[in-house]
Amino acid sequence: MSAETSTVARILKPTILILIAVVAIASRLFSIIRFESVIHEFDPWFNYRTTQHLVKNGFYEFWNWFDEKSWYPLGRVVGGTVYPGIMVTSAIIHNVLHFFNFPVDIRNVCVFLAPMFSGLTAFSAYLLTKELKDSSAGLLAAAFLGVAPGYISRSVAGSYDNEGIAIFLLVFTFYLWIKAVKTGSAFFGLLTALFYFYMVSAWGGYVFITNLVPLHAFTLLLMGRYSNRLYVSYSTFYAVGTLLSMQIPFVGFQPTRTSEHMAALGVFGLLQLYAFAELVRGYVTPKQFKTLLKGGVSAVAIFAVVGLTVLSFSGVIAPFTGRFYSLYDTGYAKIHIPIIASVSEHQPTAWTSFFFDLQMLIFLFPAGVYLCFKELKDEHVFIILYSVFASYFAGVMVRLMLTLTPVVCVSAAIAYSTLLDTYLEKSEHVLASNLAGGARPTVAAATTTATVTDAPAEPKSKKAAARAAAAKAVESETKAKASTKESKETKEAKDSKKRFPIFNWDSRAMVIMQLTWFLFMFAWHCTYVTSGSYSSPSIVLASRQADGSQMIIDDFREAYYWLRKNTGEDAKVMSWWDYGYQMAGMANVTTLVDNNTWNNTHIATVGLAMSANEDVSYQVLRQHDVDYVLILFGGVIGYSGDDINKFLWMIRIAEGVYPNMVKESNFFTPRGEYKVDHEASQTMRDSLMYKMSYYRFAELYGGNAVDHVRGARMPAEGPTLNVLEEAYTTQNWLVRIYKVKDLDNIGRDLKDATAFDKGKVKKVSSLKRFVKA
Amino acid sequence: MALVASATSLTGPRTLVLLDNLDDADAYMDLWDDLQSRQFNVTLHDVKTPVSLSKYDQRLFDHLLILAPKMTAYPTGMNAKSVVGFVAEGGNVLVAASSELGNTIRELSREFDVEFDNRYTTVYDHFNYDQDLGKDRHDTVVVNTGTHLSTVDAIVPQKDIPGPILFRGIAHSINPSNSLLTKVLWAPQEAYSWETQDGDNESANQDPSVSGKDISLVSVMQARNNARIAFLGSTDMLTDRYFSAPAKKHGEKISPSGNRKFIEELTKWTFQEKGALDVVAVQHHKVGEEEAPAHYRIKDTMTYTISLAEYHDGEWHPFSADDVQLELIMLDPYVRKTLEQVPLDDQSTVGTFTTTLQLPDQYGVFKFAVNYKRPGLTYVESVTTVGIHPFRHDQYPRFISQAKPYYTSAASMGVGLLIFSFVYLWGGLESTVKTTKKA
Repeated sequence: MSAETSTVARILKPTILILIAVVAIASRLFSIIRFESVIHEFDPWFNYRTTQHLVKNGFYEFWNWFDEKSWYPLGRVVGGTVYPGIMVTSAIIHNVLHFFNFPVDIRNVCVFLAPMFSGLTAFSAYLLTKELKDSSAGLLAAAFLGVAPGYISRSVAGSYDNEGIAIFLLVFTFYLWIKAVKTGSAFFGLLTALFYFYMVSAWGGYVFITNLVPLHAFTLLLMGRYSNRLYVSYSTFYAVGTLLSMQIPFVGFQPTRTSEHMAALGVFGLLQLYAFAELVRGYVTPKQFKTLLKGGVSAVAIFAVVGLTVLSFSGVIAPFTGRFYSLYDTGYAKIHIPIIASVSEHQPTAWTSFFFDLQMLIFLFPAGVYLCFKELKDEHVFIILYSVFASYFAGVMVRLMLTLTPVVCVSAAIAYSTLLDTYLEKSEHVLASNLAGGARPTVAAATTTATVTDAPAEPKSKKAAARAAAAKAVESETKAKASTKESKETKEAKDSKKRFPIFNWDSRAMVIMQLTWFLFMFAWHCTYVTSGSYSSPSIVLASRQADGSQMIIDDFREAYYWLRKNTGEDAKVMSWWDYGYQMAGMANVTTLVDNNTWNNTHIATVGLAMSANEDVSYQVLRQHDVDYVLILFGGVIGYSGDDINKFLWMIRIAEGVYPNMVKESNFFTPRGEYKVDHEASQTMRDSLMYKMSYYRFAELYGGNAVDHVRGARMPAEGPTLNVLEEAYTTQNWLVRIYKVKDLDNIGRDLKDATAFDKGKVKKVSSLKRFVKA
Repeated sequence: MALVASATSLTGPRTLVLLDNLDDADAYMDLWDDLQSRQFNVTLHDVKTPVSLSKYDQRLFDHLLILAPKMTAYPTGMNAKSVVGFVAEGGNVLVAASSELGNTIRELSREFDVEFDNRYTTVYDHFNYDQDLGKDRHDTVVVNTGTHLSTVDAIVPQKDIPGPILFRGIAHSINPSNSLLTKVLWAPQEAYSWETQDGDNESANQDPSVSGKDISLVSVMQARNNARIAFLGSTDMLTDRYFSAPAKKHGEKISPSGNRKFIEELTKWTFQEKGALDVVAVQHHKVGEEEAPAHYRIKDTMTYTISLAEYHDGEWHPFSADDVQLELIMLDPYVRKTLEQVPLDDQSTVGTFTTTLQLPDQYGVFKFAVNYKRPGLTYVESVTTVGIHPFRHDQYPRFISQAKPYYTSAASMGVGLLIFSFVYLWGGLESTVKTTKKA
């Protein structure tokens, strides 16, 4: 019987895994079917642009790339400020395909990279969970992670971002780590280090690994579970991993300096000391050892504290950075670093989004963690730590939902598969294994084998897999246990059968049906969320018209295309930093600031140009050789992510650097409201952003304009612009481009020149105005 | 090019003269002769006849003389905007006013930050009047070129004017904060602007609106696009009569008036016959190389060369100066250095200015700018944008002395490992190994 099952399982498991990968990839293709094969959002455009550079100019040119077209006139050292993993991955795939004469465009490689890697992620989730429980739970975890919206949100086709490959690397590194700890093999430790290196090259989130793994080691140490396995795996991982990670220029010497990396170093040191102590213990008497230990521990503690203090104060070890503080205090960034707080994905998570992104997994998750506690082997400790920390961070920042999703899927799979095991499997085996493990208390026994075979409403493959897996697990576990106990257990099982008559086939069927129903709901929800919320490229918008037909709003590309075709190649275009990457990628123009927010002063200067009055702005614009200014205005179609809504952040960031020139309170009405209509404050109306947004807006509606985003009735007389002239406004007014005027040819100020062009004649005048008193 | 060669003006020969009345033209016969001898095609026009300055966005004329002070409305086809537009397209304008100045010219001048005094006012001077022309009213002022003429030789060279200048007309003043304007000729200390006798005398007990050196008589502007505009407070000073009249000032000996030469030099400047500069070539390269690189590296030593030519007397000459500066700007100037002129010889057709410098230790996109603006000369604004890159990964020193302890430790570690391995594997220490393993 068992041999037969395992043969079936051997065929079924790969098939299921392949099917899961196919589903994972397929559900990420909505955006391509709906729209087209384009790069989405903002950061992906930078990654795409750098990948193009890499493919075109080779690795060394990419490595030394100094981008003169961004952060004008400062420029950006791209090679040293980028995680090159994703670009190199795509370039390798591209080159391999071309080597075999598959002429695939690099754009398509980039677009499909994240979905392809999601298949691999599902596979690594399978491996990880298999290490924790068994392969049936692994299959469930793979299926969950394949379609969980929390992960899909960053890995749909076209979302060519670091996270697309980083989540795979995260899960796989964790799998390798667990394998290393379990086996105590230096080989797996080395593999962990190698994949850690790949992760470091791909995403800043590697810090999560470099803290979680030491934490795991440390916890095991505290639990008295020190072993040579732990020593070998951690030492290999840390030494090799750290050296490798320092090869990424962007990381450089950070592992030896910054506080984020100190935990790993500390645990490494601690393990050496512990190992040394263990060694010493073998050679001396217990009494001597006690004395030695006391002395040693206090000496090390004093040395460490003094050393750390000195190094921190002398600045060798960097103090905690703002981004780090903001993980502890969600209000910190808002007060101290508006540039971090202004990013929507750095906001604290709303509780609804946990359900939205994970659906039923979120309530299976604690159950899974509980089951881990029951088991509590080394690897389960890891999952518990992972879930605690990831839950915390996911609560602090929306984007960290991404790191939480894998552990939720794994835990939920453990919980779900335990339920299935309990309610599906042949009674005696389940019972045996349960009691043998000593872990599952109440769940025990069932009636007959026949019941299981008759269990309805379960997909055939899953059932078989679960059965096979369970059988296998049982096999191994029974082997591991002393066989002498077996008869006793069987006896007990018979007793419990009598005690729990609820395990009749009908009650089991009810539970199974309900569980299956949950699965259906989950799949339905995931598909719905993916298709509805996470598959919009955000450079193309879709809306429904009154008759239900779809209307595509393609203003962004329209504007970028206009810039590309109508401005010189060295035209400098100023915009808020959100659009920097897109402009560089799509319009091929020089930008002042972009989504790589490395220079707060430069961004604040742009904020100043946007929020100051025309005269001040003009100075800034001239100093930075700005030719065009690009803004987003959603007032016509009601697009709420426009620049007027982001304007307060611009003001705040500008105020941080130029407190004498910009004052946030001046932009509010006396009652403290943020208004754009006739009640708007004078400073607001004088600001360049306001003027650019509402320039000629009233004319569009014959003086009766209503801003659809803010629901404000605009004054009939719109603002006038003197230092800029309208260059282009897209179909739905979503993007407006202004050209910066040159200084007046005959030395007038631009206000007078504009008035003159409108036919106004200067009336004032006495000769004396030019004569000094 | 043929057009330019035939005319002595750099921008072309087509000249439109706007007169209040075509009959007035007779008074300026010498001026027309002078202009025609310098190959200008002069078209006379009165303000009644429709005329337009440009067609299909192309200028129809290269120069415009407005000798119609009384004009109250532009001829059909012209307006203030089209005159400003004409300047913006590179056309040069000379405006002469008089005491009977109408609003049209006044408003036009105002756009150029030039303000004429009220209608029916005249510049009077009871000390420096001409004893012939200003005998009755003291309204023809004799202006000493040594003290009241701009020292900017590029516009009107002081030494070439044979005598004092006779002026009869209206006062104006210019906005001192407008850097494009230059005062060329101004009134003597004792002069003042007052209403002409024919006007009513209601304001007799008021101070004159402007007096002494504050009264500009002739001013010029060079617009940012290098178009040139001249404002004269007097139409009379352009007439044959003033050209030929001797200047007779009380208590000084009679000398010929400098008007004709002054107007010749002024129109030469205004109509781009002199004082025009051209950037012939800009070259920059690393020392020891010839070609301009796509970008530099920080701390490179490089050479910058700019060649300038000056236009006068109908052809280009080498330009010479000792104050041409190069700036390396990234938001702020990082380097500012005076360029040295390569000595001229007979073969030189251009003035070459060059310097060699070390680039700053700062990467970014730099502008190599020569911003040479001197009154009377065409503005030279040459900007070359070049990136300065940081070191490449293979341009750092391979081994550094500070790291020797680390090299040593790494090497000793490697050697130690080798020795240990040998000893461990073949050193016959098996018994020791076993005990260690047990421990």
